[in-house]
Amino acid sequence: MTVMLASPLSRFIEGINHSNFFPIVSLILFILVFIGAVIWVLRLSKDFRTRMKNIPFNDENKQNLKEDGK
Amino acid sequence: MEQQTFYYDNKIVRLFSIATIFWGVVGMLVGVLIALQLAFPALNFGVDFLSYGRLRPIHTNAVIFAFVGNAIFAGLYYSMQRLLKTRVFSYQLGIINFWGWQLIIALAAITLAMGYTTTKEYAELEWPIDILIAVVWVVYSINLFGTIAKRRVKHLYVSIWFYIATVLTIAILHIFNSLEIPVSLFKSYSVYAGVQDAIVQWWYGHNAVAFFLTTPFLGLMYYFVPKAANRPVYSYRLSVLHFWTLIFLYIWAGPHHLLYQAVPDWVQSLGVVFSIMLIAPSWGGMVNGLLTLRGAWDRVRESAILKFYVVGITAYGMSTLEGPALSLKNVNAISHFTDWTVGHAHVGALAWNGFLTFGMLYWLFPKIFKTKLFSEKLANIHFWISTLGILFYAIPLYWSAFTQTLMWKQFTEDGLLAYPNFLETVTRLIPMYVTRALGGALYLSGMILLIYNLVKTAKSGKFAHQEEDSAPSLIKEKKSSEKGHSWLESKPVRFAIIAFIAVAIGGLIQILPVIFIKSNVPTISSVKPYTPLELQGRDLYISNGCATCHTQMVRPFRSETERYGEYSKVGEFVYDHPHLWGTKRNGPDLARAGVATGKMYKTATWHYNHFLDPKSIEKQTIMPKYPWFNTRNIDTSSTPKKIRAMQKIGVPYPNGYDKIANQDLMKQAAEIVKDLKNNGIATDELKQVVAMIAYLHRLGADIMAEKKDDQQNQKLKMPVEPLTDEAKLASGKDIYVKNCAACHGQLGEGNQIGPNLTDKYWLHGGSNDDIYTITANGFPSKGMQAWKYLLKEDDLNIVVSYIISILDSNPPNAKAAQGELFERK
Repeated sequence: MTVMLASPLSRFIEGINHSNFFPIVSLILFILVFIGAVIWVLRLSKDFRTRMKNIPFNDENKQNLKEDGK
Repeated sequence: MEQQTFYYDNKIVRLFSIATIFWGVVGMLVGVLIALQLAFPALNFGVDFLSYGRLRPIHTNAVIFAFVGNAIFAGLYYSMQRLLKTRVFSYQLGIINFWGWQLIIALAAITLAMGYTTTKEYAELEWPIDILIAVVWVVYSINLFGTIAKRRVKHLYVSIWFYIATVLTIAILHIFNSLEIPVSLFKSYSVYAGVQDAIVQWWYGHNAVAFFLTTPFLGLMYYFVPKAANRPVYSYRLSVLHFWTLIFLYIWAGPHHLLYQAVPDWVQSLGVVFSIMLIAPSWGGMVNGLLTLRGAWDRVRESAILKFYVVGITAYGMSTLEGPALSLKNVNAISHFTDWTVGHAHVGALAWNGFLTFGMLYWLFPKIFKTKLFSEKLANIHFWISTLGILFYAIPLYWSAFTQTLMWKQFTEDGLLAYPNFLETVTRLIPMYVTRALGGALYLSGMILLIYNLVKTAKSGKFAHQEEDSAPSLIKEKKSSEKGHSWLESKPVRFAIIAFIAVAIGGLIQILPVIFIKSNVPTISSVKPYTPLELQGRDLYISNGCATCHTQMVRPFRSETERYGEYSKVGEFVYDHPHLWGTKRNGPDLARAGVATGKMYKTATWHYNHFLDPKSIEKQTIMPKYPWFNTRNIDTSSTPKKIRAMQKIGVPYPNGYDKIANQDLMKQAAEIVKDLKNNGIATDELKQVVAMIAYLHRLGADIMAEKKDDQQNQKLKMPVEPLTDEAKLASGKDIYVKNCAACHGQLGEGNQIGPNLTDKYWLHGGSNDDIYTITANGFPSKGMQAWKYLLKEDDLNIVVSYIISILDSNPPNAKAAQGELFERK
């Protein structure tokens, strides 16, 4: 595989001190994704959430949307 | 808004449901047979296509891709139409999808039985079938995205997200793991070698579990559990969080399958950390599923469907807690290569995939046949029988795992292995294997009840080819009036791209460095490509599924090095296309089977008799017979093609070697035949057994070949003049501090362990070549390692140069002189 793909990319990646670089980058990326997702879900309106939850039931009870299964 | 009437298609759903049940029975039947084979080896019948090594991949493929795969398609075709308020995009594509998938399964069963396999777990199928899988997958993707495109709801429900992630990720995984160079129609070699192959394989294997056995089922859970409980999912917020964190995290965790194996440390650590983090989204999913049933718990008592869901989702939570636990290195040291892995996988498959599928089928059949379930009571009996089956299956396997691992690691007071014969640790497990087979049979009998119940249900109703529904057409709004938070749910293409990126990041950061950084795979100069005969033998080893029971990976534990020999190094596998490290030891590890001075070595005569009838050598062995090795010939006409394919993927056979390879093959075979003849066994050069012996005698021989020279204390010459360059010496100091200082002091002054390196007295001679030799070869009995196996060639030169540069540096606390005076000129 190295034979087939030896390229400038190879030299670039090799230049990185990988033993520290990759785990740190991945941790930071995950934290960003997680925070992003949390902010996103907190901004969803109650009305929107109720509508989304009820998509599977639209064929049956079109009138009364179900609120948290109460 | 205009109200439109349309019809959901049920025919595709019915086809996939029937296929699910059919292949479920087949897969489980094979499972029970191979479980019994481990207890009663006579059930291998001495026939190649019925032997354990061939049947085990058939079992896993049948259960994963046939049973679970068809269940996924059935559930997806049913739910996506209803969630998107439209008929399936194309009925014809759905039919092609169905028959294409069944064709793949049938071809898989036939080719695997015949021994055509790549041996990569859960991706055993050979390249023409791989291409067929890709085509059928594209057909399904078109149908999914086509249906999404003509939907009548603006926003995509969370189930649809999981379906999109599944489709995209399985495509990436399948393509990259299946890159192989064809030798013939049914034979190929992985383009990756050794450690790279292993990492790509487990990136795939782990994520096949994630994106074939988990994400589509989570999508199904988010549809069918609310439907069955008749209440919406507990928290929409949690489902969003669950989705994004799950698909982002899962892709990283693959290397936890390779802990303590010959894989760079940082890759292992990454795998561990992400596996632990994975608990969070998995449990988010479980909590969301279970809490959907809040307020409906009274109905669980009567409803078999809800029972299946409750236990299935709980098992999902347990498995996703157990998985991260198994990824801790100290737990993995105990669990790996034992039945714990098998138990873990089956709790997931039987309880999570199986029970969710059963719940779905019991719910679907009455719906599409417009009737009621024939017998709720029978379904409840099914539930209890299969739950009991899972307990009978799993508990003995956990028991067996601990029994075996403790026996492997037990030492006597004198420091010797308490159970030096591997077989002792296997025969002890046979009662557990019998009980496990009973558990599997119970689970299978529950399946029979399901068939009876559903056939009766279908007969009592009338199949609705399609169902009518109506919804307002989706009018294209001008600019979205949403305040920005729901923009993703309404834009499937944008959504798919972001999901793709989330999944791809993990692959990029984790896989690419391993493929591109050469220093991650230090080469060992004595490791050479396989000879043509060994290559043929290796292919027989692959096609007979030897790797399903025999690992080739000695982990760096004393209990393993005592039993097998030197632990496995990354550089040993550079010519292994594909790797054969294995995951389960039903038999002993074979990585050192070719080390003539080692404990695992067996003579050609022993191998010959052992293949013919293992019981003639070990009465209690569970190894099947391989009598055909002695009657069938290897196909020498394939040798040149194999050599050329290997050359294409970078194995350094000399130019034009393909033309003369068969001469070498015959020469090597003749020697083995002669050896056998001297021991009274008549055979000829072309018999498969000869190639198998050649291969087994090669395993581990490469790195030990040099070890033998060391014992004669072969004098080496330093390949370069000692370096004096400042920068080189500085990096030499780094290498020294990291590797040597523990025994020779920070400044070379020596300590209780190792001698002073800065004075004029030497134990093994003080010339440049002497110092190089002792550093390279080491003195293992005194604790000095052979650094040529541990350092790169350049680094070895650099560190020796550094040691030479600190001569006469008179560090403080210098250790008293040892050895003889050596005056440098």
